[in-house]
Amino acid sequence: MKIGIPRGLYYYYYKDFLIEFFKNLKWEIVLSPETNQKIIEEGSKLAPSEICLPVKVFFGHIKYLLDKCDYLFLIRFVKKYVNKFPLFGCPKFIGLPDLIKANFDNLRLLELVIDEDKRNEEKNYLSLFSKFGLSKKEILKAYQKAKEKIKKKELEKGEILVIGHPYILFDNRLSLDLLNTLNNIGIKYLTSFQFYQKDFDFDKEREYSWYFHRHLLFSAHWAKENNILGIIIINNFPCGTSAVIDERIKNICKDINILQLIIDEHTQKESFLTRLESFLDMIKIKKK
Amino acid sequence: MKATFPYMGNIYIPLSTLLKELDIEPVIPPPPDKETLVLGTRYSPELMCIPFKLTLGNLIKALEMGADTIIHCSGFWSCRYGYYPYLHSEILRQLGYKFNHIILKREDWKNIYFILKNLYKKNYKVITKFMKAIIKTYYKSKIMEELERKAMEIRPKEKKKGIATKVLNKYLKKLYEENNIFKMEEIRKKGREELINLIDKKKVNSFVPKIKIVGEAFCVVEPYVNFRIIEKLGELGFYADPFLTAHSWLGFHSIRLGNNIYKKIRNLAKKYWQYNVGGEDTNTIGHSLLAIKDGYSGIIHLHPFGCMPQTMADGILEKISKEYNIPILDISLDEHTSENLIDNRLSAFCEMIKRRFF
Repeated sequence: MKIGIPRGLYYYYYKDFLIEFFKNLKWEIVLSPETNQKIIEEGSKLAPSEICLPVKVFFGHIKYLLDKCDYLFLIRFVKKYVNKFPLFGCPKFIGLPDLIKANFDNLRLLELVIDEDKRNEEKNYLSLFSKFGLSKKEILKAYQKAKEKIKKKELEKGEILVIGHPYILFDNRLSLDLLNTLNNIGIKYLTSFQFYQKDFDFDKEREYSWYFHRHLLFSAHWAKENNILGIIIINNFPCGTSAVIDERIKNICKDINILQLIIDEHTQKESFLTRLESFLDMIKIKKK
Repeated sequence: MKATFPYMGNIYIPLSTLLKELDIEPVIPPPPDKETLVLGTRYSPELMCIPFKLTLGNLIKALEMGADTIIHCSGFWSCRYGYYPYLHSEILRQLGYKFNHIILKREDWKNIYFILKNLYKKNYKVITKFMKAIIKTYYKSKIMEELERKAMEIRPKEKKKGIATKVLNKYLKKLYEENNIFKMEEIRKKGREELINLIDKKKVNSFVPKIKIVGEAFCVVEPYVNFRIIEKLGELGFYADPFLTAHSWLGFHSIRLGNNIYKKIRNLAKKYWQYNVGGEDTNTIGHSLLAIKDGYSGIIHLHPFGCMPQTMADGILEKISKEYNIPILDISLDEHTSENLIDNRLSAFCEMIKRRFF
């Protein structure tokens, strides 16, 4: 069985788990390639005009995968409880499969719904994959093995913090090679994704109930406590959630220098680099 | 205690009664204009949606008029609407305003208890007073709804362009100042009669095409943001039917209190949209499908630029438009949208519908 996983949005959150899980089931994974100009252009044609860039890119990835796999694997993240407190996905994570169904014909979808009001995560996998003649034991074994593989890593050390959604940060085309540029310049950095699934004081940011965005806030709190030299916030253009979250981050880290970069389809790398370099120069002066 | 709340369309008419009955002095800022929008835009995040910016401007004006308490309602949800109160208060506090902040949300009934307890420390007639206030508010908002709907019906058939709006505004102003239930009833009767008298006798039996207006709640209800689209459509000879009015937003009759219509809408939309993603998206899709069933000639979709649930719904509406062969006009609004642009698009859309169907 060939299963297609688009390299975008939730892929970056569930990467390790999904690859391990399907390996245990002995299914073949077809990954779409890293984002390139062609994928962006095709996605922009298909997707609704006003939607944010990562979703447009996601459409491009799906277009690439359409005739290369038996089933497309999609995740619909609706609701999850942490400490008995409901947390939601961004509207795009909740409605994505519906949007894709409306825009593509002849789709064969495997849609995993994460909605803890209905059933918990383990049972979700059970009910989804038992259609394919797999026994309960096999699925559960694969699931648990994959869960064990994910280990919580220690925080690395760094001088500056890069805050951004992983689907922008680790996508070299969307982030315009930000992380590689930082590596080349030789500055030690920490990404906000290292704070994902780390335990933090939950009551601190109680009112912000987006599941995938809380770790950005926690990383900002961490930066404030640990005297980080500077923060780079990277975002795509009409990102609705970041309008709220970035404002909060700026309020948390009032004394830290912040560079905010907003990216869309037309952003040039040169102007982007100039801003980045001047920011890093400023930090070097501050360091001395 | 001088209280204010985010300004949206005509909801201030019933809400001011509610506050007055509870012995709270309402502070109503003047209707939004360019100055309010500029004020709000200056202090809010760049990518925030226009309802946030406009309400922020209004809150600043209300605070300058002497309000000392802000009452917000909020929901824990995926839409940014749930975060308005926190961001608003953070921004206003940074600007140096001092105020009490009361947030009403479904999960937190303590706040309502807190208001009541603070207001009536020794008076135990709280409940009767509260009930009386609710009944009066309900009555007022129902009359407001009836007059507004009547004006929508009359506009395409009126004798002189714009006269129905004038009469409506006159009676709404009277209604706003009135506090007695019997006198409100009088206003209702008089207003109804005067509005009906405005119909041109030649046009009484002429056919009026209907247009459904769906979209984000604030953009549909607030006439400043949507450039009085309902009035304009009426004057162009169409019956504009918004899926939400100030009355139904307040929750007295449709979505918030779980009336049958919401169930119906959800079932209709289920084919295209399985989960409500946060805002008015299920309503948008369901009401569009309902309008197609009811034989409407066109649909107008209003939403703020960058609104998360509505941009998602936009993709579905495109498919519905193709599948059912119905014209849908998608208007995205932000602080830079000009009135001329909306006028042009509207008149072109109406012209197209007229040629196509009649």
